[in-house]
This record gives sequence, C-alpha cells and structure tokens, in this order.
Amino acid sequence: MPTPSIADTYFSIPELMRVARGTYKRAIDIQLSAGGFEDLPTTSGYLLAYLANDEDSIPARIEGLGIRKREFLQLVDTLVLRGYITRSVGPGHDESFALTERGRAANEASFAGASYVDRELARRLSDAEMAGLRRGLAVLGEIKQSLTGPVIRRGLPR
Amino acid sequence: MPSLMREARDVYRDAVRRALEGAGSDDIPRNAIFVLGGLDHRSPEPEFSPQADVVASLGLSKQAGSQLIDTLVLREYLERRNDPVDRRRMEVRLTARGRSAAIAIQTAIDSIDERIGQLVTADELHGLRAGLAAYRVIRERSGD
Repeated sequence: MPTPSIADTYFSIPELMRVARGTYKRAIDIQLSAGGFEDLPTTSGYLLAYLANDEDSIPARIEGLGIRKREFLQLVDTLVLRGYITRSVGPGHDESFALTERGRAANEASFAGASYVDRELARRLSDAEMAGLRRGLAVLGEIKQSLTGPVIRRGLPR
Repeated sequence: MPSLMREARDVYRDAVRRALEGAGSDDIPRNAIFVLGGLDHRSPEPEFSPQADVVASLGLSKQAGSQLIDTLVLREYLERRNDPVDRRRMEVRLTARGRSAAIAIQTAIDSIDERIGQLVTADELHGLRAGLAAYRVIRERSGD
C-alpha cells in the first residue's frame, strides 16, 4: 500500500506524533480487553515485559521511563493485588518480583497488540521509510537527552 | 519501536514548555499548543476562526473542546465573539498574549525541526514523517 499522502502535507512533526502516540496503546488495549485484562494499569506494560525477559535493575529502568519511585511502588501494589505479579522480600530486605500466569498472559496480549502495529507499519512502509522512522525517533530521543533546564509539568488541563 | 516512540514523543513538548515558561505563558493547557499554533498570527488584528474548526483536529469531545477554549479565553490567550453572520456560532482569535505564546511555540518547534534536519538525511526525514502518518492510519483502522 502506498504511503499515506498526509506524510508530506502540512502536518508538523509534533502534530503527527500527537496522533501517532496512541496507536500502540489502542492496539494493546484491544488485545487486553479480549483477554479479560481490562484492569491492567496503563503503565504496566514495560514492567511486565521486563519481568518476562528477566531484566536486571527493574526499578531503575522504570524510573528511566519517567515513572517516579512512589508511582512505581503503587503500580507494584496494584499489580500484586490484581494477581499479575508476586512480590517477595529477601533476607536483606531486597524485593523481587515475578509474573503470575495471569501476568504472563497479559504480557503476551500486550506483545500481540504491539506486534500488530509493527507488522502493519512494515506492510505500509518501504524498508527505507522504516529505517528513516527508526532513525528519526532515535534522533528525537537523543535531542531530548541533550536538552537541559527544568520542564514545567503542573497537571494542567489537557 | 514503542520504546523509541515513548522517548521521542516528549521532545517537542519539553521544548515548547521551556519556551512558554520563558515567555511567561506556563499556564497553557497541553492541547492548547496545537490550538494557538494553528491560528492566524498577524498583528495587530488577526483573523477570527470558527471555534468548531479550531478544536476539530484535536479529536476531543465537544465538551472538552469547549472547556479548552474557555480556559484559553479566561487566561487571555484568545478573544471570543459571536460570528456576525451566524450568531449561533462562536469565533476566536489570538490576543496579544496568545500571539506571543504562539510565536514562542513556533520558535521552539522550528528549533527542534532544525536540529533533526541537521542529524538525519532528507530520506530519513521523509521516513519519519511517513512512519508517523502510517501510525495514524493504523490507529484509525485498528478499532474497526
């Protein structure tokens, strides 16, 4: 299928990103809903994926996503209460987490939703466009890291 | 790809927030950035635009769109009046404060665009735009 013409029309990149950013969420929500996981908190996807992949330093990685420690602890509490993960405390008071069967199934549903979007992207874009998309997003990430100074976030109305 | 998207998506927002802070306009709601940026910037008498058109592209509910405009009018970024031709409709335009904020927004966006332009090739930039546009199409069709 040819590239949608809006790519080269008057839409600015931030306008395109505003619309694009909810695509994964919508696709994942469809899969979660089909699997009966509607009570999975929005920010859980990365945590479940890290646990499924046995990633190290999960709290640090979550903090790197901009999720504060207090929010992370609340997220963990919610996921434990809702049966997605288990938490155990070792002799040195260090905490460890593990996926339950429900958590593993929810992670697979999330992965299916994200994979759907990636497959559709691959179907709609040429290899060069896909490479440009990856490169462009990566460069935006690099620019973000290079920007300094405070950013005001006061929970203003959307 | 979702991780790249998550990291990338805040760049413009952060740059715009900083610019607005510098312009004394740190009380602008998030979605208002697109509203102010899309209005006529001419000084001293910018054109009025239909309120319905101004919020249409944001995909907000009618109520949320009206609340957003109300907030911008209250905070003196927009001037609102009845359409002189059809008085059931409302029109809005930038105030002087709104114009300053709109210029700060555009300057911030331009600065990021310029940096991207220095760091990627023209083909890569086309790929970025094509990819973001494709996300939009996928999103619209994923609910079918």
